[in-house]
Amino acid sequence: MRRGVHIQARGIQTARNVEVFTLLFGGPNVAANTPIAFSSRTARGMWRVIGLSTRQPLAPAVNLNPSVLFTLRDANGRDFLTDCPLGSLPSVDPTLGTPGFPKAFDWLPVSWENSFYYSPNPATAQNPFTFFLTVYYGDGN
Amino acid sequence: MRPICRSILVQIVVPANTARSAQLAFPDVKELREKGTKVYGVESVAQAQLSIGTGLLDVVSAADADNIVFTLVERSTQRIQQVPFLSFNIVTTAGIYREVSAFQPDLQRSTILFTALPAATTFVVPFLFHYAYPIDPIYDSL
Repeated sequence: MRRGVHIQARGIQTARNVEVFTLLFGGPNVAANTPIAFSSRTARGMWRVIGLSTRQPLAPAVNLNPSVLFTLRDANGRDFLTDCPLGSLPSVDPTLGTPGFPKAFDWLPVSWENSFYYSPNPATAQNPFTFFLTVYYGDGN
Repeated sequence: MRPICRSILVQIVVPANTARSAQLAFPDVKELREKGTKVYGVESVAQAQLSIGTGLLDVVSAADADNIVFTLVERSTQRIQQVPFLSFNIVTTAGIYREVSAFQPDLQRSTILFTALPAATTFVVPFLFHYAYPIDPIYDSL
């Protein structure tokens, strides 16, 4: 227990880099459940993910229920997070996501090239919108 | 609250015209069945967080979510016994998920129970399980 708390506190306090992914999701030809890879530009070598949050409402403001899921994997293709709802991440708007601090993760060596996001909602997939994923990095040591 | 090592979405499909007091088992999830896997956190997922499940079925409505309790079993022990579904939802807990003493759930013997008649349509009841494998750094501290 002591170790877990220690890691979380250290992670939040010593994040050396915070990156906001701005992702355009969906389009007329994107079917529901079509996985979309994260951009390779998001790769940060051995830097570890120690927190995630999001920003809602989605932009442009669209009257769509949340229906974005994401899967984060390591370099070997093994899942860290499997089908996680974007809505399960803390948001600046607690009426649309969850309140609170960034969700803390245990220094995950995420391979963004192997990770993806998608929507199971056909209506969402046919109406492009932007969502935000804020990634808090540790330095990997 | 420990940092999360691995998470997986688990969805229970509730068939149309499910009766009140019906008990429905969780699906088998191979990731949670692997030898030595420990679950140390559970979240319930509400419709405000996810409107449609991965199988294109609607997520349980807010009204029906009020009338669900769930039980998680490890071997012959009920580790979580008939706890209200929404009490494990992080929207109402400032983003803090419920941490539990680590255990390996037997999902096929774990159930949800409706305390009132649910909607007559087919929908899903989603949960997020936070877990670790023996290879994960956090494992030994669980």
